[in-house]
Amino acid sequence: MALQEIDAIRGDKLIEVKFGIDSLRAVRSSLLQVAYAMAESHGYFGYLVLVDSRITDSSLLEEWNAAKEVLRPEIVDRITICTRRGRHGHGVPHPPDEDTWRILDDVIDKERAGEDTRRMSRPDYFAVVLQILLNRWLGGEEPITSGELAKAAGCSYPTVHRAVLRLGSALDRTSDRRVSLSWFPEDEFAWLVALSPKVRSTTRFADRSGQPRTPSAQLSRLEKIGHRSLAIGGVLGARHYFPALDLLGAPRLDISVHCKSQGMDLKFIAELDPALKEVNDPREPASVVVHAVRRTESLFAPGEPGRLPWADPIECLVDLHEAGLEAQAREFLVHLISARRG
Amino acid sequence: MSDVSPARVIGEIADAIPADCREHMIIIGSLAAGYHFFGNDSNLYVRTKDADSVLRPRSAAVRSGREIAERLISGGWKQRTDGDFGKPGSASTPDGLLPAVRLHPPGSTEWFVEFLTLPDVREPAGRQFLRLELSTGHFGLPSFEYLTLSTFEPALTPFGVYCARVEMMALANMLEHPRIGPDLIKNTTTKRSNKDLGRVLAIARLSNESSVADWPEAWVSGLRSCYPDRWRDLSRAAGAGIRELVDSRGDLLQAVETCNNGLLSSRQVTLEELELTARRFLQDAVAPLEAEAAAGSAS
Repeated sequence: MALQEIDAIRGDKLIEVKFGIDSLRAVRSSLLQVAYAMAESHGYFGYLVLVDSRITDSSLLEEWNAAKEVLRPEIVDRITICTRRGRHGHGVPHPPDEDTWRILDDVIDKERAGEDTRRMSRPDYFAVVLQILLNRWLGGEEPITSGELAKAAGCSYPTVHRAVLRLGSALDRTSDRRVSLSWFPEDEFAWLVALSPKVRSTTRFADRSGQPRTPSAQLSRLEKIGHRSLAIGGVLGARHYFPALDLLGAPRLDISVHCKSQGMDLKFIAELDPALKEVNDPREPASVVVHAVRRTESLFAPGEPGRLPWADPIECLVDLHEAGLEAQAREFLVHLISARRG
Repeated sequence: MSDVSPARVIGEIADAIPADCREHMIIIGSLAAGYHFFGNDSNLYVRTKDADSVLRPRSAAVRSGREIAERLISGGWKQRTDGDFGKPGSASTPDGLLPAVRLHPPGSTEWFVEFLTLPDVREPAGRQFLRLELSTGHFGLPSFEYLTLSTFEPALTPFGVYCARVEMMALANMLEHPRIGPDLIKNTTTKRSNKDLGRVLAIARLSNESSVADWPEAWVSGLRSCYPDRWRDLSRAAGAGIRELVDSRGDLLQAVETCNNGLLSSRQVTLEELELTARRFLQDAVAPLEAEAAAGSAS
């Protein structure tokens, strides 16, 4: 399987790219990965490319010489460790020629793009707290302490306190200082909908192949990939909670990504469909739309065995609004409120 | 190049040859691909000039080739005379310089049928010739390394002749071009590998996705049957040419042009669209084939 794990095969070149590696142990492990791949398939030259690494070329040469002591000569003699720092490129034991650098740089570019972890700004914790409370209200759950709320949201107690103050009279407070929503706060929800692309870091993708896949085809591919942090929202999610939703099919696939850090991992998109490209024009139709769920607890509802989970009802509801399906969103909200427990 | 209806051409060939020879004939190339995709639509045409027909088995190819060719010649089919190898060879012509049998149907020069046969697996890989002596002179039945794979388990047409399966032709084309080679198509600046690998992508684009997902299994079956000793190596190497094509904008552009002038003439593509077709194809068909080969070597 080593050959499968190599970043790129270009002609007779096996290329493995590593970004920001600063430990020789990591270099050694990557070197072995390249060597295994070369042992699997004869006739290749191996290139381990270190991008923006602080390891010196002399240390890399020592590492290459150490590898030479233990690896078969017909393999190690065909391996080059390259470094790329800005416009400067080096190689041990010998620098690659210009044509080879062109190929290596192309692979670096593609890997950089594929490394797609999107940096996000600090979460809007009012939005996070509001979503948690809305879901709890719809589920008829007991009031919650500020401490529990802070834990579920992934923020501090003072941050929760500020969010709770902002909800004003929409909030019920019990004698033991637990809180819950008194009713569905239309104004705050409208605020959430208006800002949802920003607070959820919504990222939209459109097909560029001229042969778009249907949302259900994309979903079945996504389920085969089996990413653990993903859930299905949008029309498909809303239909899970409300099968009578008045819409045939689904215009797009909404995916919620549970992000516990400041980064949203979008690598699964290339795995899902290489023909999906990000679109920034909000008027351009998107076939796959990804939203960040930024709290400690994802609130995803389990799917059937082997299937992806469902995003929470509020996520699905906001997805419908974002997709411009206002009538369906209203219908779904009416259903959620009427089906509310408690 | 002419716009021809695949079903009409295959029907015309089948009608003109002896009935008992039909089962020995397998149509390959763009005509077979065109028949697979557009056979039921008489309004869709394939831009081609040759109907490549493989005669099987190799041991009977000379006999059936002679029988079929003589029947066609007596029916008014004419040997193509333009271009190189336009004249029949003689007993003194070396095998490698013999012209192929290329016959135009009566009253038309739009297209011609060309005969090939399967390679002798005991011989070195590459182009081989079997001498075919006809009433009009000496000809050669050429064969190519991966023709056996191209014609693996062909599909029977209602006309009684067979058509190669598109996925097998695609795999044979990929194996034929593990690299983007320098060979040009005669009188053009188009590389042969760009045209043939472009056809692989055209076939993938015209096929529905669920069938492409089934190709790796069919490929493994064909490779194991045709090349039991080296099917793993071939599986691992199969995608190299397509990967090189995708990474070379100039070569991919040539592939786009040949596709738009061939199988995709009625469904034209842009450079970006064909590139993305290639990336999906690598992900859905080539990677599982490579994984299968790797799994096979681990067990």
